[in-house]
Amino acid sequence: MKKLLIAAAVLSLAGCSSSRPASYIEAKDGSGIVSLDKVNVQDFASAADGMLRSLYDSPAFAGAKRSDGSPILMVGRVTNDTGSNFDTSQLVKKMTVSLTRSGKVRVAKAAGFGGAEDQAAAEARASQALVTGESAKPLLPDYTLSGKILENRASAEGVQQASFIFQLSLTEVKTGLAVWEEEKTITKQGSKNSIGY
Amino acid sequence: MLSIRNNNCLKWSASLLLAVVLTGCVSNYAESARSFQSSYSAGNYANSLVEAQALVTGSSAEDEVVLKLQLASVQREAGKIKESVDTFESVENSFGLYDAAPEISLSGEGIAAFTNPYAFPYRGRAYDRIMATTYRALNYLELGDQEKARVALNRALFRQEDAKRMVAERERIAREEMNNAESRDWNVGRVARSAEVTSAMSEGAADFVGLPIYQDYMNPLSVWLHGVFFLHTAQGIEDVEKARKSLERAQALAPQNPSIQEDAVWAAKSGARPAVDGKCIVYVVHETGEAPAWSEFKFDLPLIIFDNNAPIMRVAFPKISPVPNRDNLSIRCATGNFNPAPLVNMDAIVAREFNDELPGVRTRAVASAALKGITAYVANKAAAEHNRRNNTEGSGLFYLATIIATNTYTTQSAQADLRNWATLPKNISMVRLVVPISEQIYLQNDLARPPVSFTIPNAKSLILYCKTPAKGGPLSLHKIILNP
Repeated sequence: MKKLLIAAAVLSLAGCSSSRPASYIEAKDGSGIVSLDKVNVQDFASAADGMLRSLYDSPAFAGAKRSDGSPILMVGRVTNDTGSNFDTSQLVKKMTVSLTRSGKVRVAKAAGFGGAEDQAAAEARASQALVTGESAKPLLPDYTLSGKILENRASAEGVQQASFIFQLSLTEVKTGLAVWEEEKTITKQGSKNSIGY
Repeated sequence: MLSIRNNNCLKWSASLLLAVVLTGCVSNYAESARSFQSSYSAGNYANSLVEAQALVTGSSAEDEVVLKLQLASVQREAGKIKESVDTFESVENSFGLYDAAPEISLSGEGIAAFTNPYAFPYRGRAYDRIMATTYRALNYLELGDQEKARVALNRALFRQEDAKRMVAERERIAREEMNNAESRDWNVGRVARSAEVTSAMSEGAADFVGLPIYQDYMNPLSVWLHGVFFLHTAQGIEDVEKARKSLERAQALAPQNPSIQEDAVWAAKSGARPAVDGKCIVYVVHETGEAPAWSEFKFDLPLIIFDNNAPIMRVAFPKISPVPNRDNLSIRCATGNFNPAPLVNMDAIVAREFNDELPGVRTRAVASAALKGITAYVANKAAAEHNRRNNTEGSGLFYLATIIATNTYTTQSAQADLRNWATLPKNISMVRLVVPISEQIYLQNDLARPPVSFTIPNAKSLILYCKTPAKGGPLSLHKIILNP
C-alpha cells in the first residue's frame, strides 16, 4: 500500500516543472546555451575573435598597395562541413565588419563567389554603366577569403565531445599564394546540452 | 442500512469508474495507423498523404515524431519534396530536444506502469534517425541544394556513431532496471526470467535468422550515399579521401554489390571527380517492400501472489514479422539488361535493434504487470474483507464487481508499444551504369506494368532513386543530379 502511495505521489509530482523567465545574455561571456550537436552563437564569436587577432598580428596586408584606396577583399566559399545547418556568414561577417571598420580592406559586394552578395549594388552598377555608355570596370579583388568549418566527434563512458574546427585562408590574387591561414578549434564536452557556466 | 447501501454503491461505482479510467489509457495507435498503412502499401500516395496528415494533426505529443516520420516519407513519394524537407527538419528538431532532455527516469517508469508505454514520447530509434537524415539528404539533392545535402550526410555519419552509444546506453538502462526490479519484493526478476517470458521473447525470432549484421550499426545506404556524394561533388582532395573511406566501408557492408567497388577503386586511384566523355554515370537505386510488421504478443504471467484474490496478470510484448511482398526492378538500355544488386537489408537493421530493445521491454512489461497486479490484489483483498465483515447482498456484489473490474484492468490495459516507422522499405538495391547522354533507359518492375522510360540528361552523374512499396506496385522515380 505504501508503494502505491509513493507511486501516486510520483504521479502528482510528475506534472510539476520549473520554468525560467527570458533574459538577455552576452554571447561572449559563456552564459549562453551550449549545444554539443551544433555551433552556438558564442562559438562563432569566439572563433571570429581569435581569427581576427591572428589576422591583425600578421603582415598579410602589409604589401598591399592600391592607388584608389585600401585593397579589395572578396569573400570566397566557406564550406560548412559539419553535421548541422547554419549560415557561414555568422563567422565571415564578423571578420569583414572588423576589417572594413579598421580600414585594412574594402569588401567587394557587387561581385563575389557564386554571385554578388549585394544584388542591388551589382544591378545598379550595371545600369550605371549602361547609362554612361561605359562598360563597368571589373571588380578585381586583391585578396580572397575562403575556408571550411569541420566537425569531429568522440564519446567515452557516457561523455560526448564535439570539436568544431574553423579554418580560414587569405589568398593574394596576384600571386595565388596564401598570405595568411588560421585554424581555431572549439571543443565542447558533456553528456547533454547545457546552459553555460 | 441506507447509508451502508449508499456507501457500497459509491464504492462499487468508484471501482468500476477506476477500471474504466485505467483501461481508457489503452492507446489505439496501431488501429488508427492501419488504414494509412494499407493505402501506402498499395502505392496510393495521394490517399495515404491525406491520412498521414490527419494522423499528425490529431496526434498526441508522444506520437508526433513517429507519425511525422511517416508523413515525411509519404510527402517524398507524393512529390512534395519541400514539404518532406520541412517535416524531416521538424523531426530532426524533436530528436535534438529529446537528446538535450534528461533520460527517462526510473521513477518515471513507475508512472508508465500505471498507464502504458504509449504515455512516453517516441524518441526515435537509431535506425530512424539515420534513415531520416539520409532521406533529408536525398531531398536536398533532389532540390539541388548540395550544401545542405553535405551537412545532412555528415549528420547521417554522426547518427551512426550515436547508434553505438545509444545501444550501450540502452543495455545499461535495461540492466539497471532489472536490478531495480529485483530489489523490490514482487518477484519481478523471477517472473522476468521465467520460461513463459523467455519463450515470448523469442517469438518470431526464427523469421530473421541469417540476415546480415552490419558492423557498428552502420547503414550501407547512408555510407554509400556519403561516398558517392563526396566523390561526385568533391571540392578538393579531402573530399575525394572522404569518399574513398565511405565507399570502402560501404563495400565491406554490402559485398554482394560490385558497383560500389568501381567507385572505391576510382577514389583510391584518382584525386578528382569521375567523368566519362559524352556519357553519364547513372546510379539506379531501388527501394522496395515494407519493413517488418509490428504486432502484439499477449500472454498470462505466472502468479506472483498465491491467493484467491490474486488477479490474472497479462503482459504484452511487441513482435515483428517480415513482410514478404517485395518487388524486383530490371533496367534495359542499349548496352544490355541490368538488375540492381543488394545494398541494404532493412529487415536486418530493424530486427537487430528490436532484439537490442527486448531486455528493457521485458523488465518494464513484467514490472508494469506486477504493479498493476499488486494494485488489483489490494483492491480485491479489501473488497473481500469488506464482504467478510458485512456479509450482505450488497457487499457480495461489490466484491464481485471489484474482481471483474480489476481483472478487466489487468488484462485489457496490457499493451505493447507498437510505434515504428512503418513506411521504411524492406530492401534497397543499387546498380551503377555508364550511359550515353540523351539515350533512353527503361525501368521495369514485376508483373505487367509498362516500363518507365527515362532520357539521360546532359550531366556527368546522377542518381535515379526508385521506389515500389509492394510487388507490381507503382514505380515512383526521383531524379538527382550529382555532377551537372
